[in-house]
Amino acid sequence: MNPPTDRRSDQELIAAINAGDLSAFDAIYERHRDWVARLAMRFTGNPNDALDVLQETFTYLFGKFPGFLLSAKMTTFLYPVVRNLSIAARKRRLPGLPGEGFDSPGPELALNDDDEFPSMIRNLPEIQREVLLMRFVHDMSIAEIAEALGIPEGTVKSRMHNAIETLKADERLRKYFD
Amino acid sequence: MKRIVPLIFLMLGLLGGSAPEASRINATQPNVRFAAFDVLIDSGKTPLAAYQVKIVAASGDVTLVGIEGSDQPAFATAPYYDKHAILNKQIIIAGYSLAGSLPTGKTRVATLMVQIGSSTKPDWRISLQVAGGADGKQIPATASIVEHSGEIRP
Amino acid sequence: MTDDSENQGSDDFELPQSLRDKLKAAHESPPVPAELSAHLLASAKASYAIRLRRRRMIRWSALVGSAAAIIVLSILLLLPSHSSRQHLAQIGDVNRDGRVDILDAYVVAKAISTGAKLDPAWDVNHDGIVNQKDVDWIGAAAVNVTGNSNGASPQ
Repeated sequence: MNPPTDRRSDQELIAAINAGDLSAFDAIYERHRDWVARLAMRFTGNPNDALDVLQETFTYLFGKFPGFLLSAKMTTFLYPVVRNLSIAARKRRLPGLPGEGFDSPGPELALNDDDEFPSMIRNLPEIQREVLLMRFVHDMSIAEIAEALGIPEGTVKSRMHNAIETLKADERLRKYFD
Repeated sequence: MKRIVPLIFLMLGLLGGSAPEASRINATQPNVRFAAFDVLIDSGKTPLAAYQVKIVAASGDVTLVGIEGSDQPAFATAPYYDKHAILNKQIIIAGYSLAGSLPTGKTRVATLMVQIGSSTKPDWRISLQVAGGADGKQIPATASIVEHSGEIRP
Repeated sequence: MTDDSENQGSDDFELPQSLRDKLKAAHESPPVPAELSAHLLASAKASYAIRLRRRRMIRWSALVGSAAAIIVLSILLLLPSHSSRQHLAQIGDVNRDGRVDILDAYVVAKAISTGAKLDPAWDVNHDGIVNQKDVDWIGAAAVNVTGNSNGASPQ
């Protein structure tokens, strides 16, 4: 993949689209495409569903122009969109599943099941696992996570702390921390 | 009958404000820059509790892209404005404060974020529609708008 | 430890790089076909252009509608129904100075914040209670320049 070439910030790109600069669509898409696809893949566990969610996410975002104003980071805005669209995608594919949450062993970390690693992460409580993955897989800051989940930063830190402590206590993960 | 006159002006204003928008679609926009402009209200020695101003971009290729509250705590909340007017050349913004300590003198009440599409400086027209004191009564004040320099502090 | 404990020290939580890499590897992004991206972007741009054109048409329709509404309103105002005329003029005009502006919103907001007696007439959104929603309704009405009733906000 080529590195993003447009140096404008997300806010500048949004303003540019609002003003009619169509090239800014490409820049926004190029910048966030893989982040959205990765997140959708985590939530849906299915590449086809993930691509559907990717399309729906950007269609939703671009449909807000002209006149879209962003008061947070783009990933903070996109996270709940991807999450909700993924829930809908899962419901379409697996109608019997609960709509909210991913507490049950869901599609997350369905890859590499020959490895013990996924189950170690999957065994974390959902609320801890989510913040851990948002931070270290999706590269979101504590503040962005808090805003995306609608919880205080202190709660995010607490969940993160507990998640890391749980991982440290797992004998099977000792090699990573030594 | 008196009430009809403003309505007619309203209609004329609407007719006058309907500039074509399709011409805004450009593949590229050279010389675009972003700038911030501070909205200032000077209420002299009277504490300022509320304000309402009308701002018009009289000339220049200017697009309003965002409005923020002030770093003055009393007016830190973003003001009321018409979201649907954000891309227009004119907007009314208004705010009030219930703070115990209200500002006096020249107060920065809001900051406009704008995209400027050419090298010309935007020409703003700002008019104070009303300013109010802590008792909710109208007070004398003046409004101004200046490019955000980081030096102006309430 | 409670879930909401506010202080866990630094927010610079670190995981060993090897563990991070493992986590990321377990969450690979699916490849996004170039055709999908091209189609998505082309559709987005086309829709955007259509929305701009439609917005312009709606604006003109709104102008025609506004003109018609103004004519109807003018006729209504000229009719000798004093009670309905007063009602139209007074929605949101809390201080009865003949216009709806931020001072009207301020009067209601201050009354709410100080626990003062609230006039039922200030229930401008007709939800049976005078609260911040009414303040925001008046604030929105004060700054409305496009005729869209839901367009204004403090954000």
